[in-house]
Amino acid sequence: MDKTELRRKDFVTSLLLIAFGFFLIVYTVSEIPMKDSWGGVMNVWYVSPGLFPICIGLLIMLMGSILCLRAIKDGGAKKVLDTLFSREKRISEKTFRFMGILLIIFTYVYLYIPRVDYFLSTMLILMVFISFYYLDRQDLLKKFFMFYLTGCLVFLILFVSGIDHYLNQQFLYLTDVLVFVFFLIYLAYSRILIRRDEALRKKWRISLLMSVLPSLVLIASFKYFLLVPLPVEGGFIEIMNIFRYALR
Amino acid sequence: MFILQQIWDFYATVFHTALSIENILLLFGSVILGITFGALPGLTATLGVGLLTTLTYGFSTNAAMITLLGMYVGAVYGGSYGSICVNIPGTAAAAATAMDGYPLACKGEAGRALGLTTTASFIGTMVGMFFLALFAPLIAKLALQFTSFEFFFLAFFGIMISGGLTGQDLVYKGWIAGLIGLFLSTIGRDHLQFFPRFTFGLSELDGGLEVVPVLIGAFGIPQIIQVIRDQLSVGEAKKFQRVLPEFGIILRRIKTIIRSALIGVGIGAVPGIGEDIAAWVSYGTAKKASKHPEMFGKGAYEGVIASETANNACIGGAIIPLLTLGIPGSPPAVMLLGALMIHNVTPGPMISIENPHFIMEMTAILCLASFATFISGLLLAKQVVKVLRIPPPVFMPIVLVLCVIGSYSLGTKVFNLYLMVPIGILAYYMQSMGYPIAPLVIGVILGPMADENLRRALMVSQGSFLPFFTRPVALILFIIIVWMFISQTPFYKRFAGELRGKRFKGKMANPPTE
Amino acid sequence: MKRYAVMVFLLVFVCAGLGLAQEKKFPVRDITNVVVWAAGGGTDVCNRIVSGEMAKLFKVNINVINKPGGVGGSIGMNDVYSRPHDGYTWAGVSESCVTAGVQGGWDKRMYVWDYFIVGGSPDVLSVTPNAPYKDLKELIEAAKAKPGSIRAGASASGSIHHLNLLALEKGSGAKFNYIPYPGSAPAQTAAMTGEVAVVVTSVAEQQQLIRAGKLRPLAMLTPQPFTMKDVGSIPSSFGPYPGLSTYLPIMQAIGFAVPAKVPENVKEAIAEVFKKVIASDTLKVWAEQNYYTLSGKTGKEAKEEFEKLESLFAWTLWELGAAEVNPETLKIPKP
Repeated sequence: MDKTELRRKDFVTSLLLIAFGFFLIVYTVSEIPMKDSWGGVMNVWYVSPGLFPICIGLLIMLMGSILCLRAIKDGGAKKVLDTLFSREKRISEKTFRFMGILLIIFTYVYLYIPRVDYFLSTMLILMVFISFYYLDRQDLLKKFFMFYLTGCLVFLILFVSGIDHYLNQQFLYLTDVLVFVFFLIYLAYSRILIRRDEALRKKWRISLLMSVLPSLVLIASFKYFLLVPLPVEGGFIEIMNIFRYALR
Repeated sequence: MFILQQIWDFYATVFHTALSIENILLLFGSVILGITFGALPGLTATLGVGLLTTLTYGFSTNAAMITLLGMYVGAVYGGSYGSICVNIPGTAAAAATAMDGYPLACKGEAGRALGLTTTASFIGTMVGMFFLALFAPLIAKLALQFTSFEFFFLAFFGIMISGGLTGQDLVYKGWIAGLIGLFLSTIGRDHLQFFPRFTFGLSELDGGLEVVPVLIGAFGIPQIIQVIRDQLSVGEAKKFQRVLPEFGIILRRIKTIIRSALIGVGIGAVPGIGEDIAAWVSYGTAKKASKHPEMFGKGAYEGVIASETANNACIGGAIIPLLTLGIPGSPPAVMLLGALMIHNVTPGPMISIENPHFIMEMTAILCLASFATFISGLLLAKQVVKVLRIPPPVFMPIVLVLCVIGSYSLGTKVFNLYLMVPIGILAYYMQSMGYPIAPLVIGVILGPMADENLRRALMVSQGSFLPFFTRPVALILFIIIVWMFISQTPFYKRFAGELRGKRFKGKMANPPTE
Repeated sequence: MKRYAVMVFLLVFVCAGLGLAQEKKFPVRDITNVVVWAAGGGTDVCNRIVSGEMAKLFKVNINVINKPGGVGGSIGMNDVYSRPHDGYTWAGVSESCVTAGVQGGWDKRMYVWDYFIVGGSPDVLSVTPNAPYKDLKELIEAAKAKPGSIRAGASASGSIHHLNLLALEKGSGAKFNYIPYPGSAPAQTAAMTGEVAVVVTSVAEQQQLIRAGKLRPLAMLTPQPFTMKDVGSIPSSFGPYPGLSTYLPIMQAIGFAVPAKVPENVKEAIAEVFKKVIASDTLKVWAEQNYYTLSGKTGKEAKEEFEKLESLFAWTLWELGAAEVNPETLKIPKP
């Protein structure tokens, strides 16, 4: 990154830091007792739980100011003013790839893991993630991205509105089944898109293999060997349970 | 005569233990499992020892200790794999190894780096074991010199070191990262009065942030994003050298090794702080003492050796107060304490009377475990480097899944994942703006220690700062800190540079001891 | 490809149905015991041993995992309570868990659980060996002469040892300078280094240090004296200060709990095996060597003990100003 561009960002960061340091101090002074006794411990300023946060807040403000001065000196502030009015923005290829990763990480952690069978969500995410980038074609990435995003939005609405609870009451593991259907549709959709290209078909097969196999190995070893209870043990892990207890 | 007797006893125990096929199988099994554990992001020695405690309930005490110590040594060593190969440290203890290990891998020297860490870990464990066997009572006395005053200075010392780990841009960006880490560490109930700070009413935040999700978030997520976004290849595996390092490389750095091992044992012996801090302190000291500090962070062999020797030497150190005083010296040692109690061995000052052979047995097991780690390490390192040949778009998604399950497993809390992601994205942006990430993690590790102990110390002294300078160990630590501070100022650097140039050509500055 | 997918799909339904049909006998699957405190502590060790022994009789695995965090182990308790109430997930708890409610981490009363109490270890008050106090009386007199001048260490604010210290202060009229530590082990270490002069922890935690002469016991905080190997008898604090009996003893209660809604036959099955284990020689030997007093209470008895602890802890914390939720809003009766 070139220097003035970096300083431009530094200037913005420094303002954020100063604001953050200020917030720390305000929060500490208003929320944390500096004198009154709490929890049966005699309280004086040097025992207060607020001592450390205040020091950090002050230091962050100090550092922010130093950074700010430096950024002004190196012309970063000027650059901010220049770019503020020229709203020219174009999503470059790299930014798009970046957004794809973010979408995957966010949906995995915030959408699927807390609500959907752990094996299923892991398999789905691996398939999506690998197919996004391993096939390595910008046009395909865009299509996959939009398709996956649409699916996630549907599930988001389902989860936020609380319909999934209702569904699970009607029929056990119905949410898991729906997500599994989505996984199958995604498989079919991506397979249809690349049906003419032999090299891509091979990569697609590898993607599928690398999404099913690691999930299976990982989850089986965590659940049955290391004995770690998983976040959501839904329909698929119940099937694994049945196999596991049938075997012994 | 006493020492000879000890040595004879030691060999007898080692051979006695090693003669049973079952023991050997257990040993190698647990060591390899440990290495796998260490290498996978988020699965730490603490978690590994904890999980195996359940599995070894039905074993005899001896067999259980073989399994647990094998796991411990293996996991501390295995952490270096993730650091070197993908720049995602498997454990906090190996985070310092990533500083130089990954640049080495990028230069195509992953094989050599792994070989170095294998040897360094072996030497480190052996030194730790040596101290455990011979100086346990002495070191236990040292551990009792640490009160809140000394703990505060120790934490402060660690924070100072993180200030020296600057990125490529401005120096104070390291400090800013460190301060953000310190802030993150204040979240949760404070340990003295149990007052909720920055929890915003979320009960999940009451316990504070755990180190593992922060570590994985701060190192793992930026690395995944960067590799996929910029279509980088992870390291170069083509130019593969032999794994067993040239003898010369090790021999020429014998000073670093000895210093790091001593730091490791010393920090391990101090109750409550473990491998992670040992590795960072040793790395920082090696950088200070080096003739070419500018090479650190770009693939210096010393950096890798320093951190790996220290974190493994720490094991022996951490077991000393555990066995002699019943105070665990590091987080995995806490787990060991629990395991010992289950097997009806209560560690403490009476252990040498109630169970006279026990310390010797632990020493022997530690010795065998370090040999087993060395052998499996040399065999595995070759295979591990091959992982780098998997194309990144296939490899990185699996790494993501591992990071997630790793951060989740320690506390089995989904909330840890909710924290990991924002921290990861923050770290990604910070990294892209030239901030080093390591100080952030060190801040999170050391923040509570500094905060709690400073306030408790003042509580004990009723607000007086005097004991900071009248207690001998505190004073020594204070002098080291002042010396470090002065040596960072430009004035001193110029002065020292002139001196060195004129009179002591090529002579190293005196390395501080622990 | 499609055909396979459909087949997998059908398999899901069939298997899920099968899995539901076969749950009659208890236990048919592995059990998970979620200890709400960190590994290596008393609750953890007790639960691991009892679980290990119970697993042998049940002939399934009982996996002990740790899920510390929150206030009074609230994270772990909430997690266990949110899992199915089928008796396959237990919460490894101790007496301090009853503080979760008033500290804002647990919005229910403690009677939503059914307890299986393993036991606990009595609390003892010790001093640094070179401290000038020969017995409890001298210590209390010194503390009365200069209130707040003697430093006393105990684990975190609101913990059982802190409450024992407070009860001693109330019953004897002395005032100490309480220094909190993150656990019993650091508090004991601080007493050894002389950072604090007095330390209150359980006998189990202190026994090694006492027997090695690193700490000197002054008095038990229980009505009975205690006899320890190599040391002899440690007198009860009730002798010189009979007034203590209004506040003490506050005994540890370590064990595990299942949600009260678990089917009765499952609870009975657990209780039966639990009682067998408590009566077994393995546990007796272990308890004796580690200075634990076994309890073995289950059902109504155990519930009553926890209710008592709940009201005591909740109101003490509220009076200390360290509670976030008024115990009245949770309808916790005054002790």
